[in-house]
Amino acid sequence: MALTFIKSATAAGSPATISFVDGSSDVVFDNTYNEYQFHFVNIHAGTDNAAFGFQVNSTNDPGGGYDTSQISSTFFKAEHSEGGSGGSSGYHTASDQGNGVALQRMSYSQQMDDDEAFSGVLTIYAPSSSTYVKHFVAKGNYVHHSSHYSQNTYVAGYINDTYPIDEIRFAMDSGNIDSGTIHMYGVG
Amino acid sequence: MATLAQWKKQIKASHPSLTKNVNGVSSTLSDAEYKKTIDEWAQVSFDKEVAANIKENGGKSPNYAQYRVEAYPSIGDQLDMQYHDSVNGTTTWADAIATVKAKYQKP
Repeated sequence: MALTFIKSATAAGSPATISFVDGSSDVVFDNTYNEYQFHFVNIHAGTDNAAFGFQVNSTNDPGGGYDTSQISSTFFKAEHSEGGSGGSSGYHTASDQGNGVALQRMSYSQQMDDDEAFSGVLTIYAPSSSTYVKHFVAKGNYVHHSSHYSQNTYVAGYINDTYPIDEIRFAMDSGNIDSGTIHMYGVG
Repeated sequence: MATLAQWKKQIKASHPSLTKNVNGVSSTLSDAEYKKTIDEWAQVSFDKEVAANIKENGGKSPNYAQYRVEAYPSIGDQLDMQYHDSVNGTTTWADAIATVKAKYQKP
């Protein structure tokens, strides 16, 4: 299995959102690959205590508002502070969804100091299937805004939609993406 | 604590215009996209402030179970409390649990 580079998007100008849409600017997000990965490099929040995440549009809502595809998900985290305290792991109920249509969090409370950001990988399987729901798995790490915790997140779930998915959007739940880069790859 | 309307006003003032990046190309949000984004950000900020207030001061919340989990003593500490309670006839463990339950209440 090899990664094939598709596109990079940099948060130049601190955009509210970064999207990848099949069919333009050399972006393919269809049945060309059976698996896609998005690599996040130093996604820096423009607002303190913000969550970074994603939502999608399916082909029955082209150009939609990224607010109709239902997501069911789980959110685990492990954390440890810079001061050496608080080593623990647990489930975070406020960041999961049960057929929810909100932004699916991959972090939930980012610190916005100049040297602090989120990095990680999101994998989406068979987005073009018209039979199955679309499974995803994300893992990442960021600096939690409370007491400078290193917080390691494991997020997984499925987009409960049997229409193909061909548009994905990344955003903070509040405030701009101040800086950072997202690389899109096809796997296969 | 700011109202939802105050959050909207504040976020609009700090973000008079917004951009989006689609496939690496930047553009300005339409009026409808801008309004929707500001509304969403304001709601999230308002909800977070309400949640932070409850977490700090206690109260009723749909997230009471999460707050309780985070506030309970560690399992090790609870076992230690139960041991000493059994030896000394005290109620340290039950008191600690009751304190957390009283602080974060089911709506």
